[in-house]
Amino acid sequence: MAKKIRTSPPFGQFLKDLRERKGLSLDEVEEATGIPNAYLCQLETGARKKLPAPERLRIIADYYNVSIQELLEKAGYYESKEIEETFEQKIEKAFLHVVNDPSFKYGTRVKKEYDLDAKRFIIEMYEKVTGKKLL
Amino acid sequence: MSEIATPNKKLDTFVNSLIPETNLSPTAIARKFSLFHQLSSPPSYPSIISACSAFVGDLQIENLPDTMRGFHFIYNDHIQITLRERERTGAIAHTLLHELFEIIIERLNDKKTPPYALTQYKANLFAASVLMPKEVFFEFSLDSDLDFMAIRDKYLHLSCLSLLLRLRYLFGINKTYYLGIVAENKKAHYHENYPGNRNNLSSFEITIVTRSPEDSITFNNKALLELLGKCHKEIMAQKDKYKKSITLEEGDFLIKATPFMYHKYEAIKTIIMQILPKKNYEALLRKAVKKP
Repeated sequence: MAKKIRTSPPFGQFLKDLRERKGLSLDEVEEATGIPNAYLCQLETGARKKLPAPERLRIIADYYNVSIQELLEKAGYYESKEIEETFEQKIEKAFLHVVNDPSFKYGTRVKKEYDLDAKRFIIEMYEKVTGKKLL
Repeated sequence: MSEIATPNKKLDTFVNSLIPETNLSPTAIARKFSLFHQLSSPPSYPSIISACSAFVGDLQIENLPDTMRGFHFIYNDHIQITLRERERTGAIAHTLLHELFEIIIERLNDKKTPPYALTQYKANLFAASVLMPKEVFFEFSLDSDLDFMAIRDKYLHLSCLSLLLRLRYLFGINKTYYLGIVAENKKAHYHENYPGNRNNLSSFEITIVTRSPEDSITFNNKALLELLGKCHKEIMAQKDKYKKSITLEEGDFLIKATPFMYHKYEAIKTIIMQILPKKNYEALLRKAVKKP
């Protein structure tokens, strides 16, 4: 049976901080993610006691450009030291950061989809040109 | 004192020249690009490199991941294109133009709304249009009776996909349906060593070169596989070690199939199939012959 964990104020506050840092309203987040603003509001204020389903957490993590681990940790699912990010997760997280940086535009001629090697290459190029360290 | 034009400024001059015109197609941008750089028809490889360098100062050749043919980024005023090392000159030129087109569109989007919908197909069509100017390429294709081997010999450095994409576009604007298909034998190496498997079609993967938003799609259509089977059989029935192109007539359609072989054990590496209506093609041929 799925473990029921209640949302904690730090989780709600964390979500609110993420949203405000991006200067977004709840309506705008709803429009971009498809998650109702009333639901988001309940999460942020702690009014909703039950945690979002994993798929919703994934959408929120992707949208706010944070790792799913970080979100789960803030939600109280586990302590950060319990699970270490795999190399693949690190790449995905760093790649998301690159994709969401509006000052870095890129394009590539790929055969099908970006595989891990391609993502890693793009991250390395990003690190080289911006001087930021992601990996 | 006159200011030396940097690559970014030259790029912006070109991009600004596109702004007054709306909905420019990749082929129209290609024509303007060739005119801007006064490229010959067809353009030489060094002239393509030089034209692209004039817009993007930083061109790099690197060992790219297997799935990547080229890469570009724009960060502040720094624009860089990175290309895969150890590629044929035609592949380098095509990828370079492909990346450059994406950069042009990025710059155009910064100055214009709504944004231009970018697809890989458009970038590929731009590259193919610069490398194969309409007049020379289409005339040669008709003169050679669409013999893909002859076309490939003439444009040796270019990829089959690029050639088929250009043919598809040019036949399309001449109101003739044209379908270019690449059937790649994924187990050709295996078949080299086990000649008994040469007639096994299950390892052929079909790619259709289209004019739709995607430049190629994986297709598994029964009718096409049957057609491929017929072409394959006819090709393999040739007694010569080096198999030649064959032409089949299927109802109202003409099918030209060209094999590319591994020479050692005669295993087929790739079959290029060109499908088009007989009637329209013959009319186009008559029109081409009539030209002085």
